[in-house]
Amino acid sequence: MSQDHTTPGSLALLHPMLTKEISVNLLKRSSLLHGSHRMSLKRAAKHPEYSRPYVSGDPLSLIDWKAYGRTDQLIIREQRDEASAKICIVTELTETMIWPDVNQDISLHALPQKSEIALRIACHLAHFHLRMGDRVRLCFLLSEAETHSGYVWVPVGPSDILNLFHRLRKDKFAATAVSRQFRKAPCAWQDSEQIYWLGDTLSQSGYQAIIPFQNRGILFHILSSRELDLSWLEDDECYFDQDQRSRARKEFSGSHLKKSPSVHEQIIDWTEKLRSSIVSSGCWYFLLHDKTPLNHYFKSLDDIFSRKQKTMGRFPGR
Amino acid sequence: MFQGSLSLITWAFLAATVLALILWYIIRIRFRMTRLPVLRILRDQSFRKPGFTILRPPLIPFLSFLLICLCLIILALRPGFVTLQSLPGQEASSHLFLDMSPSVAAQISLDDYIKRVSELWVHLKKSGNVSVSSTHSQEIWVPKNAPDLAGKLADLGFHRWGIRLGGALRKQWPQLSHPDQLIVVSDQDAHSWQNFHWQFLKGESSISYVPMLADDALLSNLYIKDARYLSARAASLMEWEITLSRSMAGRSESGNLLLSQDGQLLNTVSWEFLPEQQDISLHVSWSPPQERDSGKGRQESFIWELQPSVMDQLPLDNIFRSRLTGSRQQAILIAKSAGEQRLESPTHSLQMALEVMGMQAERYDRTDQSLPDVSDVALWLLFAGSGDRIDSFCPSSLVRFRHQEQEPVSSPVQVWISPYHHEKRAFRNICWCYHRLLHGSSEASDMPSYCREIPDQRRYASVLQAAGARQMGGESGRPEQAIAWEGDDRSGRLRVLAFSLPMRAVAGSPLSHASFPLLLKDMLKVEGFAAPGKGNQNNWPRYPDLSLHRFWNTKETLLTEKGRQEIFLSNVPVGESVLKSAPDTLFPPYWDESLHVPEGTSALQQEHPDSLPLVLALAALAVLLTMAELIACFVRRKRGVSGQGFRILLLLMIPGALGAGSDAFARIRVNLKGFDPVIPLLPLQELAEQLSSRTSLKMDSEPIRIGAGQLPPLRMGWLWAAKPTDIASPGKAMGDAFAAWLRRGGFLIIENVSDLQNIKTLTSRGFDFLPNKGEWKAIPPDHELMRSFYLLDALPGCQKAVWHGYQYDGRLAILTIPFPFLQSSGTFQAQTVCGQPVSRENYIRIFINILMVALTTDYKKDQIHMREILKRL
Repeated sequence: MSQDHTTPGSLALLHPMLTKEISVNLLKRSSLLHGSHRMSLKRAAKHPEYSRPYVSGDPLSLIDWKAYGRTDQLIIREQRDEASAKICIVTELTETMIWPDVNQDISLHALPQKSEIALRIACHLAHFHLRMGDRVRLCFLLSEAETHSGYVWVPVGPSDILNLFHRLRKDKFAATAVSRQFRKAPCAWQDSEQIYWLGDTLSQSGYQAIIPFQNRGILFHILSSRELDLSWLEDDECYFDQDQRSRARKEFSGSHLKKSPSVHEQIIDWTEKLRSSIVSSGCWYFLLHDKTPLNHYFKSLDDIFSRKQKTMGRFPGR
Repeated sequence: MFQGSLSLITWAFLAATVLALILWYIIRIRFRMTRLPVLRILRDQSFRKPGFTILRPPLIPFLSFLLICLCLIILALRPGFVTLQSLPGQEASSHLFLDMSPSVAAQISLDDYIKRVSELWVHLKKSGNVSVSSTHSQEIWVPKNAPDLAGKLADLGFHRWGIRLGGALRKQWPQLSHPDQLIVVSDQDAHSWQNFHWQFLKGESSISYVPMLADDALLSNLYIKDARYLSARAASLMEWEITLSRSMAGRSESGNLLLSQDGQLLNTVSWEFLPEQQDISLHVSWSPPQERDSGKGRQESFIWELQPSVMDQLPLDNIFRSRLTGSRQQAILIAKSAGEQRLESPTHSLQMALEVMGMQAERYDRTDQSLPDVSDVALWLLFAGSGDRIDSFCPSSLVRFRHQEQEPVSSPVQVWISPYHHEKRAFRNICWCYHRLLHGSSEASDMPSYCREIPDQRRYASVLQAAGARQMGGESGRPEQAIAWEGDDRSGRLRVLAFSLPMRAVAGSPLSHASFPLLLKDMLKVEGFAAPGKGNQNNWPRYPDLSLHRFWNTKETLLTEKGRQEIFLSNVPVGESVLKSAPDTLFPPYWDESLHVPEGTSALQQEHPDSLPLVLALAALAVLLTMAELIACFVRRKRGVSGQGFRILLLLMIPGALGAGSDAFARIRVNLKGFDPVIPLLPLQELAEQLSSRTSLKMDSEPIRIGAGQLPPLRMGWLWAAKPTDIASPGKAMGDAFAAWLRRGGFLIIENVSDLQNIKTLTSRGFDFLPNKGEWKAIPPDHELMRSFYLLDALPGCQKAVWHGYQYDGRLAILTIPFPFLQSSGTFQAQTVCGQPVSRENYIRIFINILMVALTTDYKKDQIHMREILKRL
């Protein structure tokens, strides 16, 4: 029998519109994200080169009503300030992120996959930054072999993100939906002023790219709650993983994994080492999973914007 | 079990598949594999891999699993449709269609042609029956041996007329009874292949083509394109204009043109083509012999013969015939002498005028002189005076000629009767002669009473009009203005013109010396005499496509000797003479000796043993084993072994596979009701074979019999009842369930229906209450039953009883047949309907049409079929 493993108020229910919890003023005051203040500067500009058609979701205050009176067309005249920040959100959608695989184990049905959590966070971050007036570049990595190129998309406004989120939700956050909609191009995160990296880092597909960004590089380490706690394993089942680089398959029986205490410790050590290496290079590290409460996620964003101590991301219970 | 034998590789593959299934079952059923990516971070050396343990599976579930797998494999390999192959002993039938038109004569000599056709016949004969037909006639013959074929072809030879292969084959095709292979032996002449849509025959026969081509591809032909008779104003000179043409210009050619008649050489003219010339005209003139041979054996044509200096490509085309009628037609004038021969004599003027018109006129005073044969004379001019005796101007030889009906004539002999002077009493004699020539006898010497009462010209006109004569000249409805009155003999041998005015320029006549020649010329032209002048055609006919001629449509014996001679000696049509080749895309694929001759496809393949019973037995065993296992588990109160759900799922797949296999193609079966099993039916096996060979449908030869009192299931499309009482009691309506079946789309055929009134009561209860109730009516000729597949002319009736149909909901719901159709002696031979023999072909066509209506109703109403239907029109 399958059951819904979604925890109420967890990241599995994250929606791009959930931005009330984040302090906008905090962001405005932040010296970290220099330039993310354009919202207050936006006004109807006189220069026609700043014109664009109105799309659903744009603030009404930016509509040029005089132009509307002349032409019956809703035209936005917004001043594109160079001060807006360039945000790059890199999302790993590699093979290891497509887990739990409901085709393999029916008991894991309805447990959100890691890719779904990553896509929800990516949409949320993009929507938030677009609302703040930043320029966002989304990059989805589908192949472990190509770490510098993926499916790239540059949304224009927050409404684009909402549309994308609805499409993804309709496709059940399948990675193939991303490859269908966007074109393949270099991620080019070097030009960005701030980078978010969302992934499980199991494929080691270039998350070290955030290190040069120092305090403007944020790693959201996304795992499944079933990977952090192995108490659910069945004795009669065989568990495996295949490393594509070595082509060697590791297979373990469930009873063996449960009996061995070192498995749990190794996972803890792995996350701790990853966190310490990221933090020591000046970047931010947050460990998230499908049962992480939303408040913890919002607080981590507040921490980033207020440059508080990077305490978020320690292994639960440690 | 299977169609054909499986190869060793297939068997090895199947064995490997079964072995792999067994290994998979033993090894993997124990461990379910689940991926856990986080294991990637674990160090390998600190963990022990689980060892695979080979366990002995429980016997009964494992056996059950194997049986189910075997069933599914057999079902997967079971053929989905039955292919057609020939029955042993079925010989292929081939047909050779030989083009022997003049263009072929340009490519190959007759000896070579016969040799190649004989070789082809010998090769085909090894594979089956070979029939042969040529473009000479509709005749189809089966040669006994090669010399027989060669002798027949040598007798026939090449013909001079043109033929279109499509038209000729269309005439022969109904007699051919669908040969397996049709081979066309022809050249690539564009004229012959024009409008030959052989692609439409591909569905009925395998068609191929044997080219009869010359070794050198450069064919050149010289021929006489036209021969025109020019005016011979002086009676002593014949003038003709001959147009020579050639199919290919580019080089100089010269030669002679010979003119002969009755084997006597009349003239020789030399000619020369310059390199750039395609056509040249020759002016030929000569003095005809003064003494005309009026014997019966003389020819009726001039023969022009081309003698080129180099060999011509089309020897048939060097001879050209033109009619003698263009030279001189004989006219006889019978007019009493005026006493002295003067230049101003009106009769003499008439004679001169006729000669100017190109005729050879002779004058006689009386009829008792030695007159020429009536048939040798084209025009008789009789002048009647007021006091003349009938025999003095109206020769009895004309009456005798009319009675000689056994001798055919090409055109009627014309007799013009004119008054000698413009006097009223002459009209009586003209009326008398008119009556004598058309209705009377030579012995009758009394004037008919209605001629005696003619007082003047007005009365003369009304009398002749009452006698059936046609008015010539003058306004319509004004008989007094007529120039002449025309009447035809019933046998078509005489045509008599009774004039109202003298055909001479005499005093008192409305005709002047100036207007008389014009009137005479017009009269000759109207009556079909060859008027002199340039452009006068006197050629023998050319037949571009003789298959349109009645010589091809009817039996040869109906043709008169003269007509037959005209056809056999006809001039070669220009289309064949130009030797133009058709493009290669127009021809069927070339016949190749190495090709395998298609065998007869009219027989169904013998059924191989069906694998279905074996599958059912294995499936039943698997079900039994599973049931036993479940019972054992229940008794021992143990949980079932793992994999049981999967096994049951596989078991459930078997009925699905069975259903998919049976529905792979639609099966047609004849549903019978009320037929006595003792009485033999028409050979349904043969009907099924014919149906499969002629259409894309397959029919099962085993009928379904529905017992008395049973109703047809709703899904059954059609039902064939032996007699009306099988549907309902006599005089009563059919049951509600039966009517519901018909209303839902069923199609009912009832045999042995003699009384339509009783049949009408069948539908009284189930249909009459409906607002759109149907209608009983006889099957009209334009009903879809008459054209659903074959175009039927009529349906065989029985003692004035015809086929009726009940039209309901825009379709044919019930069809009644007035005689036993399926019930018969069990064979098509000696099949009769109410004493009248019905051919096997007719039976098959009617059955196919009925089946088509049962399956598709009137599918030709659908617009989607319109394009394909229009192609066939």
